[in-house]
Amino acid sequence: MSITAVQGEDGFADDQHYVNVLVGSRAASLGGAYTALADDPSGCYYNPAGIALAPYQSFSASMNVFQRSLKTYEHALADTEGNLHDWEQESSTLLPNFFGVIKNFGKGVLGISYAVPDAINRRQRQSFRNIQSNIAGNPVENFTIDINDSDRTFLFGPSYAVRLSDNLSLGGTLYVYYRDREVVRNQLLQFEQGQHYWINYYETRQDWGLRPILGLIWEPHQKLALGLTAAKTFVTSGKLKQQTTFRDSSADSPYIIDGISYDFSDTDTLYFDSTTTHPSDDQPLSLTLGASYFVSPRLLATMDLSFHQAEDQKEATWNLAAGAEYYLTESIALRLGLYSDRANTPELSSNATNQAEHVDIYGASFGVAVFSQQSSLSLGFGYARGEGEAQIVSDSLTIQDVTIEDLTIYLAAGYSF
Amino acid sequence: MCQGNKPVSALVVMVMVIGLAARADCGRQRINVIAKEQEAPADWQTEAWFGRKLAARILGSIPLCDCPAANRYLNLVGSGLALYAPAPGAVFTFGILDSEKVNAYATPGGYIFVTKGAILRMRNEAELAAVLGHEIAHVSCHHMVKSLGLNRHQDSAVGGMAVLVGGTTGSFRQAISQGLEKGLEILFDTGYSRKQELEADRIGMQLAVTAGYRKDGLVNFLKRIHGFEASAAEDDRSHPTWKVRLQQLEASMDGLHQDPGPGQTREERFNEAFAQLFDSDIGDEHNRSSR
Repeated sequence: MSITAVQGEDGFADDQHYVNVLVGSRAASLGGAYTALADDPSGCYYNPAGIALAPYQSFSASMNVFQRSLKTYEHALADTEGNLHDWEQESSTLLPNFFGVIKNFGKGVLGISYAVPDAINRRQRQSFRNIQSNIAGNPVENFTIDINDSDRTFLFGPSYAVRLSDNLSLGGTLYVYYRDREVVRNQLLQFEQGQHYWINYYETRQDWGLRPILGLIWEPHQKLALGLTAAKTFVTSGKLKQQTTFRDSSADSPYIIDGISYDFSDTDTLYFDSTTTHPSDDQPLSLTLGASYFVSPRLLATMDLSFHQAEDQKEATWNLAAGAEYYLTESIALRLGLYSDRANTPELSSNATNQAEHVDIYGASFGVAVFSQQSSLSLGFGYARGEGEAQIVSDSLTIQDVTIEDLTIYLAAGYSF
Repeated sequence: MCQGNKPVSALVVMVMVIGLAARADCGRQRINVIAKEQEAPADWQTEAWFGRKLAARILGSIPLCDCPAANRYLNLVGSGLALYAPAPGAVFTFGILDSEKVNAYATPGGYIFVTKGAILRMRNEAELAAVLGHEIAHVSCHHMVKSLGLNRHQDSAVGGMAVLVGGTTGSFRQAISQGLEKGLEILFDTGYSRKQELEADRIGMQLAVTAGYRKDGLVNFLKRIHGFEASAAEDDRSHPTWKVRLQQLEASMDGLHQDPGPGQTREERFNEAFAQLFDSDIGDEHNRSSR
């Protein structure tokens, strides 16, 4: 009998939030409030209608040169002396998260872009001594856990936008969606009386699909722009491979799994299972309404309100982002953003087990951009924090407090031609 | 062009003088973009350098008319209009091209040509002033420079004016050659954008009116061209359709205040100055068909 067990697949990837990576330099510094702006290559991702309003043909690229996320499940484990221990998972990535180019084409503007809106590289390597177990008088002398998850979503595809009139533009992006996930988890529990529980879980998943984005920007006044986008990911093919290996010599009686008895008192007995399935879970429809107010050629304020529909096990949720940009000089701009990243899971109930964690995250971003005649260079910082609840122990009513802290430094370059 | 924080900018002055309506996306333009677009056009000397080379290419294919008196008169009328042009750094030079085709061309810096065929279809100085005003507007608004992407990014390896002027390498010569070829393509084949043409019509008419000419000069000329030279006009791809131009011009004319009086046509002076052209063989032929 173990004190913990492998969680369901939703516990590994951050499917519970929609703002995992802020894409694009200017947009990221503005907290992602970019639906009514979108007038550079990252508009392909935020609102394709915006690329029709770009002052120049250009390309831009951005990357997270440093991203570290720390998730702490507080007081997850108790030792035999009553001390409580936290469960800490760390994620760090270094990746290019956006590349895009926009060019006049026909009566409109054509864009090609690549974006990585979700990337996790989670690690947990912890060992605990003398942990309480639910076997009386037989605590866990040594508990070692090793988690190694990676989960990345890639988008690549064309965009096209036209100006329907002086103050109305329309655009669309058709992204090819590819998600690549790998989960590796090892747990070893060595009991004081000599038994052990060991489990290795390995999972890979690849999803292919399409993510169309439709966008509109309306400028009812020269100082005001309103933007609207609709986006949804349709998974056309998915492949999920799951492999589990374990043995539990602490079990009082044989395990019966799929009608087969596994008596782990026999040292030669090992449970092994491997399955391949083809899930195709579409992502919820997301609608975003944005507004930007151009106070002066130096100052603007922008805001986005996004709504994500409920789908399958995900609840409907909404997010808010706001940002401001101020040009200190003609060649230096400062940007500030605030945003929410609310969970799409329900709040935890005290009388249920195996519930998905629920953490609402709130973040701030800050960036500096320096412009020359043709190029721009941006440096940005992002910090996000969230507090919520989780149940990391299988089949247990115990609820842990969870804290997420996320620090990002990103670098971006742009070139107009 | 949006109104920025630098009202002294020539371009902004032009906008204010001409009274163009601000574009809906003016507010969207950030100061870094506004600054870029305001900086480069001030380099009239460099534009003239490029324009002179382009003018030489034009004259390589179409010679100047051997009509000194007519050319003198053309420069007199053109220089009078140029006084009101929002292009303080440009030095305007005008010439008559020895061609039967009906057209006029402008190159950066202020080199402006009108074909003999076009002059033969004009009836008075107001119409000539309107056509010259249109070409002056192309120069003043840097339409060629903007179309070629030379108005900004002067540090560009292939696109910036400064590099075109300062370079000495093979890539420099290639860049010049490409720029000139593209310029000729705009003048003789693809034309300016519809927006640029309509802008030139509007500003050209304003210049003619400011100089004291009747405001309907360009409208009358275009109507005549459309009526008598329909086939030639349809072949000329450098302008938007006549119908659109006329509609826009007539709309602009309605809102244009002419003071004092109805404006001048100076028909007598016009006929006297161009008598040599009208009496030539080609002129006679066209006189018979259109005058």
